[in-house]
Amino acid sequence: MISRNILLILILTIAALLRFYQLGHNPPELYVDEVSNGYNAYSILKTARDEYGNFLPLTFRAFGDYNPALSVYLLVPAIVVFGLNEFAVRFPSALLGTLTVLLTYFLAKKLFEETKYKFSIAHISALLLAISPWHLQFSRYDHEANFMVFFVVLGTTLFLFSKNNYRILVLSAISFAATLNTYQGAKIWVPVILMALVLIYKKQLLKWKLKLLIPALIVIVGAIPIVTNLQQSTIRARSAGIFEKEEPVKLFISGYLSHFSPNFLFVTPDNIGRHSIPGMGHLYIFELPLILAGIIFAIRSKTPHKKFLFAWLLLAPIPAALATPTPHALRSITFLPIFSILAAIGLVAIITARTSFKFKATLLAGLAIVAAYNMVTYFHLYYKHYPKLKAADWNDGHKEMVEYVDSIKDNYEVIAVSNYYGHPYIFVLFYSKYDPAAYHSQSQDKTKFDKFEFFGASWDKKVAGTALVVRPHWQKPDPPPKYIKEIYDTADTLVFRISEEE
Amino acid sequence: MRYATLLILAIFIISKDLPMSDQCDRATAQTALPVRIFSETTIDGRDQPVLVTRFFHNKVTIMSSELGRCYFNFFDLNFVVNSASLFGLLPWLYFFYRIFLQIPKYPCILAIFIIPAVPLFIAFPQVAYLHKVFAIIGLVLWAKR
Repeated sequence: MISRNILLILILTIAALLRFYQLGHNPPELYVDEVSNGYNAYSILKTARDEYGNFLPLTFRAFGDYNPALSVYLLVPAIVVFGLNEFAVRFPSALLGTLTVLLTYFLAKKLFEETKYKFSIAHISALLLAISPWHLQFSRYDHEANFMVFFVVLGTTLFLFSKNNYRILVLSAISFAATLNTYQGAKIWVPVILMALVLIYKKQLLKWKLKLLIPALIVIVGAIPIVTNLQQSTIRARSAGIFEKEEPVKLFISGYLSHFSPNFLFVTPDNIGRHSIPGMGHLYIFELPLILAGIIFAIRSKTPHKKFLFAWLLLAPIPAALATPTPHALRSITFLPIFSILAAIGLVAIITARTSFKFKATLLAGLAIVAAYNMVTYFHLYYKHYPKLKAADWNDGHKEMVEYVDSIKDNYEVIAVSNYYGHPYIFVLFYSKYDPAAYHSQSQDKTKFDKFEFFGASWDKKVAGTALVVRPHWQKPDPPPKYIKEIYDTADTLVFRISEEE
Repeated sequence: MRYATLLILAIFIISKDLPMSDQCDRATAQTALPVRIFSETTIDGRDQPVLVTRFFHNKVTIMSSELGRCYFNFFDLNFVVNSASLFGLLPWLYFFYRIFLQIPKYPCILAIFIIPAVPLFIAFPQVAYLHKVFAIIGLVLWAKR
């Protein structure tokens, strides 16, 4: 018992180390959505209002979209403790990522409680999730999808433990209600997984009779922010969804199947730089034979939960398949932690298989070598290559630009910043820690606030006096202005040129 | 009735047109090799020991990854559907399920996974036919169940 607990603590320590180490520095800088969430949380902390001045909103307006609120509110305590900086913005995601590893342990243990290997499966599942490139990628930046994974795993684990305990069932309902307010994709994923749970465990549920109304009501209350803001809450679904495209059924089927592509999972990830590191899939290649073995073993096992295990595996790509492009690592994060659990089952199945010792030993030794090489390569690519290769995907250079501009802004009448890289106002607000109360009254016009102006293809001077102008590196006015600073990203690529203009 | 259904499914599988797929084999992998080695070693920089650079970015691992990508294209479920139709997908999965069940008893059955690797080394553009074959065998196995 003690050794099992020590092993679990060791796994959690590994999970925490991998999630918190260099959290504020790698990925190299905050992405624009992280900055927006961070500043809105800061504004809530200082004024109880979002950047637009809305009092404790149920959805947060950001760049023409409306996002679920919970992920912003969860940032507030971190900003209280650590201040408004990169580490604070990413802290909740890393913390919930670490806790998801713990929950996976309990989930896997519950799923296989009838087998004598439940502890082995639980420990290995947790370890594989702790080192999973897919989960690490999204636990190391502030993305709502990672919050969704935590709350879904929490809700599911509580549900499975609620067989004879009504209070735990209520807690599970609260968790699913919270999930609805984490991420856009949760609006599809929560109903889908709840339906699977209800259908598979209907006998267990029906024994509560009328008492079931309370958990149902809790989930409905969780959906209120979506229902009351339906028009706004579905903006993203309408822009990325398949229903307004040609041949939606065909798109859905090919999108669904694409998430089971071995290339997507193990070799070539999706094309979005923030979702993965070049040269690695979302899962380790050594997990492939383990997952296959796990599927076979799970099919043949007598656990009463196997229907649910496969329902999760088969339903997980649905939210991602309802949108384009596919395959999409972020929207299919719903797969987590099922692949880790299947791989753990596979490893236990191989170790305990009644086959020749020589065959088994050769297979396990081969897997161990590949696993070690896979992991070492992953960490090399993540810490050495990724910040340089994908600096542009993380808006690298904006922090240095704002800090420089902020330090000399009093010398200028106007400061003009190009919006070529998108939404520069939010970077200025965040990195200069601009007073949210002072910003609310200026928030409707995103082309200017205070002495800042944000321009497109070219900038025309409208105010007398000296101006400080920040342009992307390729924008070269004629005649050339007096350049006073150049900003480079981690890959030593020129991002901004800052000039003084009379 | 059961056999009639299986026969109809088999007709769907056989009559499905074969998809066109991009060339992906040893030749394309070899073309990618110098480019990848150059770009990866450049990122590592000169301040890193050569042995470390070689450990992570060498011909063996890069060729394996490129050939692995080509090999896994074969197992892409969309490629299976395009080759053996949507009706062929379930029998195709059943075929591999039955194969996996036999591995502990007959490890040599793993040799079947070498077949999709053949086109990587020998020109064999009609590799998609294999999906039809696997799906039909899957149907037969299902019928004999």
